[in-house]
Amino acid sequence: MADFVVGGVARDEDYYFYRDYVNEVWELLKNDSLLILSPRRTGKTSLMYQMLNNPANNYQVFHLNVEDLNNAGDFYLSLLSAIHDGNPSLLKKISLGLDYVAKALGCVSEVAGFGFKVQLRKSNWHKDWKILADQLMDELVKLDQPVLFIVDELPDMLNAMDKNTSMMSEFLHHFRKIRLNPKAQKIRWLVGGSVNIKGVLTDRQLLATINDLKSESLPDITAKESKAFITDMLNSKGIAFNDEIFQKIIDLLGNPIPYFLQLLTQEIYRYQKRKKIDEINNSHIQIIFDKVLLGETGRENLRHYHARISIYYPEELQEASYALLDNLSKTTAGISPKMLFSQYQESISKTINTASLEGQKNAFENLLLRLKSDFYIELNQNNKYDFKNKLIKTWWVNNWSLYE
Amino acid sequence: MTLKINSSKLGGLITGVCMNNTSAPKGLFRSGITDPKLLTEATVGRKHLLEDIVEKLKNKQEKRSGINALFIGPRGVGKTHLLSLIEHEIDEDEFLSKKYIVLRYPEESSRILSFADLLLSMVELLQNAENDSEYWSDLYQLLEVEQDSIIIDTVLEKLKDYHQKTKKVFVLMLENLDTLLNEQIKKTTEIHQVRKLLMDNGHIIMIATAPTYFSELSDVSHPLYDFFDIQRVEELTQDEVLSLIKKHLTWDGFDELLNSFDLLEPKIKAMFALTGGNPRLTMMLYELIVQDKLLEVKTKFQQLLDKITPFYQSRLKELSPQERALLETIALMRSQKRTPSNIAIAFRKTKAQTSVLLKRLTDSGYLITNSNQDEDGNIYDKRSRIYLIKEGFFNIWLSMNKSRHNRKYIPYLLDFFEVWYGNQQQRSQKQTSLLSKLTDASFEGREEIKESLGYISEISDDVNYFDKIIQYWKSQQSGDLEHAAVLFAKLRDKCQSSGLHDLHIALLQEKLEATKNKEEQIDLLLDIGRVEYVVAKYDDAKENFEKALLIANEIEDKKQVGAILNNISQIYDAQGDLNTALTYLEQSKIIQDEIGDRVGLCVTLFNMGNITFRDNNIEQAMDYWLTTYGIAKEINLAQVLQFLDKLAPHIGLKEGLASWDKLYQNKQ
Repeated sequence: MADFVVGGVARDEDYYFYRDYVNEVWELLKNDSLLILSPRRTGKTSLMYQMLNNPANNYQVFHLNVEDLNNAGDFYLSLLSAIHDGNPSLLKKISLGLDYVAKALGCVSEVAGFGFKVQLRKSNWHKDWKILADQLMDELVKLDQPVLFIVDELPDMLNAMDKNTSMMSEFLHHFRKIRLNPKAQKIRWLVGGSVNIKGVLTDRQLLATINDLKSESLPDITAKESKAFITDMLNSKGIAFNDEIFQKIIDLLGNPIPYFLQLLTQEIYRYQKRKKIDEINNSHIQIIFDKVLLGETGRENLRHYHARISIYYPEELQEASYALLDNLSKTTAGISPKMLFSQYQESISKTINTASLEGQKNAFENLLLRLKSDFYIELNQNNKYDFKNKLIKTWWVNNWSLYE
Repeated sequence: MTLKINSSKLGGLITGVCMNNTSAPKGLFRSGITDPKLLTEATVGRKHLLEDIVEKLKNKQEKRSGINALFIGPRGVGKTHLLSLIEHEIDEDEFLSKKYIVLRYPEESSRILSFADLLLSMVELLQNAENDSEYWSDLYQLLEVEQDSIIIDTVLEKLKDYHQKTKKVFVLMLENLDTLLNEQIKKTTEIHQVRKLLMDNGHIIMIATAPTYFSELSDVSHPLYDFFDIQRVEELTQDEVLSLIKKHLTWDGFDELLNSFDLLEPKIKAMFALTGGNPRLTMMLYELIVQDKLLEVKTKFQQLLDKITPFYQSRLKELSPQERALLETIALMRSQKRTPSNIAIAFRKTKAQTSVLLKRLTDSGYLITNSNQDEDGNIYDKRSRIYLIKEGFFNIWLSMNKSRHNRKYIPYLLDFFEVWYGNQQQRSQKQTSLLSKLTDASFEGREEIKESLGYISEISDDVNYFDKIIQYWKSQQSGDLEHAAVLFAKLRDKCQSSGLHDLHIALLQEKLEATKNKEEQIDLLLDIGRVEYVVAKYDDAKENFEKALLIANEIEDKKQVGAILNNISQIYDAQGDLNTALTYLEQSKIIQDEIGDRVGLCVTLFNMGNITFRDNNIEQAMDYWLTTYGIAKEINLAQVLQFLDKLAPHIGLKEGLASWDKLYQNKQ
């Protein structure tokens, strides 16, 4: 039986969302390696594990989470370790062509208690990581079976390397070379992260090092998917509810982020159990929404959307970003592009601005692009810009706009 | 299966409460002290949290999804207790105990300063495993001296291998996660490792606690931001506090209190007001429930305040300096309503600044608002909110720090007693009960009772003789004897008119003990004797009159000797010994004649008339009374003339004083 997963990776029976999208990803991988960047808790990692556990197209899949790494050597060590964990016999097979690995593996039996990774770490390979990486790829291309490496949280690793730009540059260029190796047609990469890496790489003039990766965004969770999830979960828990709650939840959440849908549905279940309610209705949903998603817990969860602008956006974009989002949060149906541009001009007029009108328009378009790709806004069917997610809009207006 | 680090390795204080009726201790600060049976039986208000997490553990089955539960609640709300319940449930349940290995870290795991330490501690805990302890022990010894990276790589691999072999899942139970992530494991890369551990290893789950929404949970750049399934451990409701106390009284075998539980309810409600439903504070005050000596309550309460100081200090540390300052300001606002405007004035900040802080403190549970009622429950202004510190105890503790020297009756104690004796009826009952003890001259705790009465009086609504008693005592102690004398006179009258003879006697005796003045001693002894006479304590009265007589003779105060002999005669009269009574009166008359005390003589002759009349010597009686009339008329002694006027109809003199006058004229 599926259970709620709030604060962890949804795996096996608990995996629910993007079931169709997984197939699309497999299709896309036939031609390209992919880069999926989306905010936290949108379900990237769960999707990656779903692919790891249920490979398609005969892929041998390996997964590595690199969020705690800060150098190229450890990246490839983790990659080897992922192969070791996922398919030890494969590693043994390819290791014959890997000097360092062969030596390390040869020593394993001699040191009781310590394993493969420890032995590799003890060798002097950090210095020669490029040689190891090249040898590894040379061996992998010899395989008949296609290989997919899922690399999660790469932006975190790059952020940790940020103090050493030359090392980052060296790693990214080499990594790109490996990906673009004409012989490695059967090796694909799926890179993911929750931080918009493009801004950082643009600043370092390194954006080109990832332009071979096809950028993908996770699709919106549709009303139909939301309804199916709520129905399945509450039915499986024996919770009676009025059908009117679906519309109410959609009204409150908009196109929900999986995490918040999980959170809200779990709280419906908890609320029903605690209060011993016969049938959950709209008024219960409103109470739960106010308490859980807009209350103390939810407020902390959503703070990400406010704070990441000040952390990851260039300083010159921050004030305008906040101003536009503040204004949008106060509307009921969004703001037209023309009006929004005028508000943008007003916002930047507070600081010294010498840009021409054309320059302002370009800067405005770039800002909109950034806000769109970071999950904040979208152009709705009335051709107005509005918050992409209703929950974030409600939270924003409650917590930030009113403090002016 | 549950594994813990041997408690002997723990530093620090182990505190427990041990009640009279049971030798089983109750841990207030530590897990593992409380009897497991009590742990489950006396649990209230936590069932839903326990069921929820147990259900998740059962549903996990072979799935590799993560469970990262974080319970947040203020100190003392029962987070440790909740973890113990979960641990107990896993141990007792057949399925769960086979599936999970609980690794319970000590509440203060100070030695964990890195991700490697965290993993090494897992191995250390696993050394106590029922199975494979030798394996983990060997590994621990091997790794103890190794570098961090080697520890990490090795332990992760071994845990994975162990899971693959046994299918067991490791449950990390960690308390004070905020401290661990804030102060102990500081490197961002290592926090990433913690996150990765829980993201990538479905066989390792975490159930943690923290006292607050610590900054890492709301810091977007922090790896563990948005990572936990957070549930708040709420304070208990009033009904739950009632239930908790009842369960503990049952456990401790206080049958008598349970049989009259209704009488305890006001106190328990007071406890709720003081603690805001915080279970640890409630259990600390629990001792006071079975303790009704007011000053012992005071002492216990002060001890509690002392004991609780580190608790509140650490709670204050969780707040920003501005939030702390605002809380203290509110605690010290005693004479104004705590509206946002008044608070802003007292806080000396703008309304906007104050408002943001008030909102924050309200959201985080430190303050509560009462939007349209004042502290007494009166509806007054719907537009303005009244802010109160949620825990009365915390309010008292905050004000205690500031007000120690302000007044004799320390305000924080008055606050406490005001809540503890919640209404006037309770206060009056307590006053009466305390005053009854003052009647026992040999009672050693008289000073304490006076102090207790002082507290009660300070918090009482009505102005009554208790206040005067207190004022009298205060005046006497302060040396303002003149004021004390005036108050004493008023009191004496008040006691007399109120029929409070015991209290009256107690007051007089106390004063008697305090004075060395012979004349005053005589007056006080006579006063005491007179009150004892009124309440028919004839032997006591006679004893006191005789003591007075001795002193009067000693100082040769013949006027007093005459008066005292008269008083003694009244004792014998009341006891039916008319002859002895008359003898004393005759002795009195001789002295009064001798010294020319015509007032005294008048009273003596009147009493001699009474006695001879009752002895059926009517002629003699009339003779005494006529002489009395003559003297009283001569010196215009109104009181005696009044007595004669009242007496007249009883002996056939229908015209009252006029009849006496005619008879007197005739006699002359």
